Amino acid sequence: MDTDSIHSGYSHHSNRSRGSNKQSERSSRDRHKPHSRDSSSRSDKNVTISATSVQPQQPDQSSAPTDAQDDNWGETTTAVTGTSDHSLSQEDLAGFGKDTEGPVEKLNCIRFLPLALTLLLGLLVLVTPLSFLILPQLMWPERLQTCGTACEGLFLSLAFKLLILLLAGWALFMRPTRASLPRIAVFRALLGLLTLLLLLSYWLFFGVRILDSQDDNYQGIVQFAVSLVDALLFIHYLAVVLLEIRHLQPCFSLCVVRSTDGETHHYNMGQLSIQRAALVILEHYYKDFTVHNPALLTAAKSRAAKHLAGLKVYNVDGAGSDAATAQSRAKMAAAARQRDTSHNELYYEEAEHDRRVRKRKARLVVAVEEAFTHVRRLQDEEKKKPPGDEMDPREAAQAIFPSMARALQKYLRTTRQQHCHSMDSIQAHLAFCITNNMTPKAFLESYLTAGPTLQYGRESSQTRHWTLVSEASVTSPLRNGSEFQLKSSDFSLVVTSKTIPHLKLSEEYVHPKSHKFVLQLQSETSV
Amino acid sequence: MDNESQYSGYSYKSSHSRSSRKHRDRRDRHRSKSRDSSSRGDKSVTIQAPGEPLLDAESTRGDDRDDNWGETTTVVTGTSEHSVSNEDLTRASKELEDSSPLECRRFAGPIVSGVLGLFALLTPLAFLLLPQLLWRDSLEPCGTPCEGLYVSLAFKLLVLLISSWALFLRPSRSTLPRFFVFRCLLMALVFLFVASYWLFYGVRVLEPRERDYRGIVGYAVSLVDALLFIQYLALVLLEVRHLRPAFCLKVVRTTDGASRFYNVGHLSIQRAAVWVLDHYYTDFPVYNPALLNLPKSILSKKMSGFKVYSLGEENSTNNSTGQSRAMIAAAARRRDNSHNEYYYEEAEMDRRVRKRKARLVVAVEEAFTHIKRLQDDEAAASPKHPREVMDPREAAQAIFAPMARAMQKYLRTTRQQPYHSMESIISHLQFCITHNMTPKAFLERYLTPGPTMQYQRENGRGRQWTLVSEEPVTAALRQGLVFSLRRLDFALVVTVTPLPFLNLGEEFIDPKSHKFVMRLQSETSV
Repeated sequence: MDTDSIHSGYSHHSNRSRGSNKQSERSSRDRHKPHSRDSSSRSDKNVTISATSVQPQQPDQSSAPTDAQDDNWGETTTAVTGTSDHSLSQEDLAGFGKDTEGPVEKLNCIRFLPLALTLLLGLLVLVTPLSFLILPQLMWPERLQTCGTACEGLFLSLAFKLLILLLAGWALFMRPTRASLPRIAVFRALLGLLTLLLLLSYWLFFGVRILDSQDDNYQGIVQFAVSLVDALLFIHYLAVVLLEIRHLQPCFSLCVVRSTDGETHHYNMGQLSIQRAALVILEHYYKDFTVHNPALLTAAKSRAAKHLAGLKVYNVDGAGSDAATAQSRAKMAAAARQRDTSHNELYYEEAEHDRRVRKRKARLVVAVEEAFTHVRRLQDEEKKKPPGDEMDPREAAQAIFPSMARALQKYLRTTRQQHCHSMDSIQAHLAFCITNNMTPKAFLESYLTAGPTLQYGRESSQTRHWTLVSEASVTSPLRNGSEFQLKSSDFSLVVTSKTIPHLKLSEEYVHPKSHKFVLQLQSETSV
Repeated sequence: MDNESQYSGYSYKSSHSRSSRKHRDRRDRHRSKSRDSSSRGDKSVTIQAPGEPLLDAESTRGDDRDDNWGETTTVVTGTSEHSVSNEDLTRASKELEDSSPLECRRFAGPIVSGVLGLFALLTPLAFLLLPQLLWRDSLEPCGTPCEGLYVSLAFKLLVLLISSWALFLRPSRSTLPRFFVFRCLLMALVFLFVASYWLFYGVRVLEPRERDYRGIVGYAVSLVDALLFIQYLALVLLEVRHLRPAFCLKVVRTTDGASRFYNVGHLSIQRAAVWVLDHYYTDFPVYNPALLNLPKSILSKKMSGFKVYSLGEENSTNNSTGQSRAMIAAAARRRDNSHNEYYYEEAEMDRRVRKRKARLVVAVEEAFTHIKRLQDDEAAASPKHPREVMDPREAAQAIFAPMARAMQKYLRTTRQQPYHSMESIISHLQFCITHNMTPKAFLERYLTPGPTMQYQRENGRGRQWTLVSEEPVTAALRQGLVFSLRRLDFALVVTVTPLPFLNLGEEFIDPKSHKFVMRLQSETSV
């Protein structure tokens, strides 16, 4: 009965898939007719079973599956090909669009434009107070009042404040940019705009009240310039608060999951926009997540293929039936039956793999320990001796590398790390360990445990392009339930944000002398 | 066979360490090697002898352990002495160079900072008081604006005082080899600033005996304003600039390869070193030299193979190339057995640790069931048994006995005895009892190695580190930089890698674009 329902499920699905192709009504009617034929063939089967005749049953069973399988095969192939073409064309279009927008042009523009704007604004900030002081001297020097003690003191103060502003601006805004974000940083733009507005206001006031009327009170003019510099310093303070201090207090917990192997880390963050949060997450990614190793995923794929093959074998016995529920039940039954064997295979396969890795590790450890005994550092008093076997770190590494090369190669192959470690990088690491007087165990640490991405030099230059995928605007702030992805070429990081709960901390005083205990001895007489 | 090779391996190592001595001693060692060979034959005969074989084997193993113990002690002591003497020489020379500057260096910074701060604070007050003292009668009267400036000046000085205390007077937890560049820059700036103000004051106010007192007060206020802004600059340079991460530091311990990765901002090498050490004490498991003995025992077995083979080689030629080839051949031959021994020895070690752990867990669980906290109502309700009431200390001592043996065996198996004394175990037990902790919480401290801070013994003498760098320690971090932090018995090697430049693009996904279809496999099976 189950096999019958499985087969009929397939027929039913064939009808549905053909329906989605928007066939004409006549075609659907033609499809309906074979359906009737299937029903009649089913009734024939029942009659045959009651009659207990073997000969007619076999021809029916052999002919119906053959036709159904051929039809399904064609339909499935067409469907899969269509889907694949569709998705490929979509991705090609997207990639093409990105390429034409241009990594070269985009990178150059985005990378240097903020720096240029910052420098321009800084220059304007520096020149404006000096202009305020110099312009009256140039235009109407004879009518200006003499500058007294307070005025000259203000000159000194102005000079030092400008120096402070220069150093503070350098410290905060001139740090090299390490990321190009898809949108403008809102607070940074706001601060730039505020500075520009302040300068424009001061210039406007200066033009109207001082230049036009040729004010002769030079001390007032100097006071005016000093107040401008003070206001600029306060804007810098606001910049520190908004850009560096506001987000220090954590209020969101972000869960970052890598889409390929499910590696997960959690981070607490403050008030940030989505794109700035993405930047912080990527900084942590290069430090905390182990390197992405596609080779480790092939084992799971082979097991999945076996599992699907099991399902396929079961479907052969099927006969026609219309019920989708029956189809699902049949699938679950098949999966449940097949699952036992699959999990057994997984169990023993993992055990065998672990045993093999342990053996390779033991061989590698012994080989490396032995190799390190062949070389030792030349002490200062020994330099007087004839320099027979004297070597620099590179030569020493090359001398002892052959004795461990075979064991290391086998170990890396067993753990599928070959592409992460080239021969040159291994020798460089060996020279590094010899130079710094490290033990064999410290040398092996790079190969026995997977490290973060930055440890493998080749990867860090490749995976620096990320795409931020979000349903909300990337400049909107984080909120409870925000979700976004960071896509790289071969995997993505899925980020989920939750609000850190409100903490209510109450107080209770415990007297130190209230800790009292008694012995609790079980005294049972055993006879 | 294994025991024999192990024993002779140790002998070889001893002779190797003494090879720097005279040639005559080497000949003597050669003779002792022959003796070892003969003793090896004796051991074989002993193992095969009948009559209580189990007991004889045990007694033989005991003898081997004693011999090995002595050999191990000698070898370790020799190596340790050598390294200690080297470092002692280095330290002695450093102390000779720095003995007097050490005192100066430790206190020079705070003294100079304190004097400069005091000078900066007193200068505005001096600016206000000097005219009053020297030429009060000729000063112009100062009305309301002056008094307003007085109030402003007072509060600004208070703000300056508090912020200076908060930022500069924090107790220094580390002594750096060089001065702090930004700190020196700020101090120089303050000094230059105050000196300029004093120079101007002397020339323009004191000499001509300026009579405009309001201008003088304004002058003092502008001085305090600038000092406040210098304070703000200090905050930006010292605390804010390095917040944004720019480099990834990889820290590896040279002995066991424990490593961690940290993101840091723009720092100098010595500041990065302090940062790394701050994290070292909380992140790295404690350094346990006892855990490194296992590889040595494996290694000595391989060395014995070398000894046997090189003996034959010496008879024919003394060529170093031939010697190297012979060693390689010996290594290739011995490798299989050695790695097999290592493999099974590790498995046996793991099994033994698991057994000890199981025994310890059961003992501790049982011990914790013997005591119960006395509730307040129970204390009032049962005055009959005042003797049985105990404080946490007594309770800990009462239940320590049942678990002491299992604990001792477990710590010995995992080589943690030096880090847990009986007194510290009883104190920890008292702590757990007082705070209503479970047996599992009590055991966590012994089942997993904790950071260095957890073991009190390390705190006192573990703080002296030497920063070894090929570049000046005040240089900024850059790509590829390597420096190490050395201590008496190990070093931390720090490698600097810049965080990569991130090109972050944007892509909008329509919520309705998530569509799926079923995928059914249909294959023909024959």
